[in-house]
Amino acid sequence: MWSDTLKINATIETGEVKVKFSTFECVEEPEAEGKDVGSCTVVGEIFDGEEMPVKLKVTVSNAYPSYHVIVYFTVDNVRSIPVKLFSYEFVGVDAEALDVWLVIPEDTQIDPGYSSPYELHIHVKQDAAENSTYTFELELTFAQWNEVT
Amino acid sequence: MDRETFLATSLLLLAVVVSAIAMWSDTLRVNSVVETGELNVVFSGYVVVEGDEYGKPWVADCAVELREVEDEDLDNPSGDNDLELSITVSNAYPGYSCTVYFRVRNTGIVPVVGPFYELPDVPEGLKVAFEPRLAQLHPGDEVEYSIYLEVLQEAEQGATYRDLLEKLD
Repeated sequence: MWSDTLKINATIETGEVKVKFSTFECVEEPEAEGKDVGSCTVVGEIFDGEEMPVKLKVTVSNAYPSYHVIVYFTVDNVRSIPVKLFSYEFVGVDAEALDVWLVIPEDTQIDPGYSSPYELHIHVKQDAAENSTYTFELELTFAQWNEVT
Repeated sequence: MDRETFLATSLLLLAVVVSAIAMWSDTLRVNSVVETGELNVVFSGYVVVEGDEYGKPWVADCAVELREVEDEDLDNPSGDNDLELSITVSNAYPGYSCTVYFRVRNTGIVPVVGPFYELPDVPEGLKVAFEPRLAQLHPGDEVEYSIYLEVLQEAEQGATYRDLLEKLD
């Protein structure tokens, strides 16, 4: 039979969600009597296939009760989809010895090409033991902005 | 009967016979010419309506144009090579959707019925809805259809889903 054909050609290209740490530094709260007893360093520990830091390692040395350090870091959105902080979790914190908390931006949304500042506070408590090593992890999960309420 | 009389009589008889055979007549002829009609449909317009863009309309885009992609009537002697309705969704994310409302016009002189269509398997992570009603389209008439595209959570990041082709006869 006679017929004429029409076609619809549809292509869907999806975007990508990806964040990385960009700047990061330790800033100590002033120590008593102007001494420089404790110290803090922060370095990139794990890098992804594009050499972007995705895990930081914070090392606090010779700390003592009431020592307080703030790790300032920024998170960059390096892909094409806006993101929001979906959740964060501290794992392995010894609550007897340490107070740790995260200061997050009021609006955690990061558009592509933009950054957001975060603060990780570490405070050594009076019950911390001498000559001890305390380790913990902080994991931040970012998700596409439209799915985070 | 002498020779002259015989010839004269024979000519007279021949004239009588010939005049009897040459009777009046009239001829009718049938001259047949069949002109066939033309069946032709084309995309005649479209409108794009994007779904909820969550306050950021610049993130994803749904672009539509009429352009030549391929000869869809290569093996169809009664068809012609029409422009395709080309839909390109870029930087899409789960939750993004767009609906393309498009019109088909019968530009031929033969009524058509359709569409009879093929919808290929839709990849996981996408939703494609196209459920047109079968209709008769008279010459000059136009009908509107819509195709709905949605990106689901299962969609891969940084992926390109091609050849989501609809074929309408």
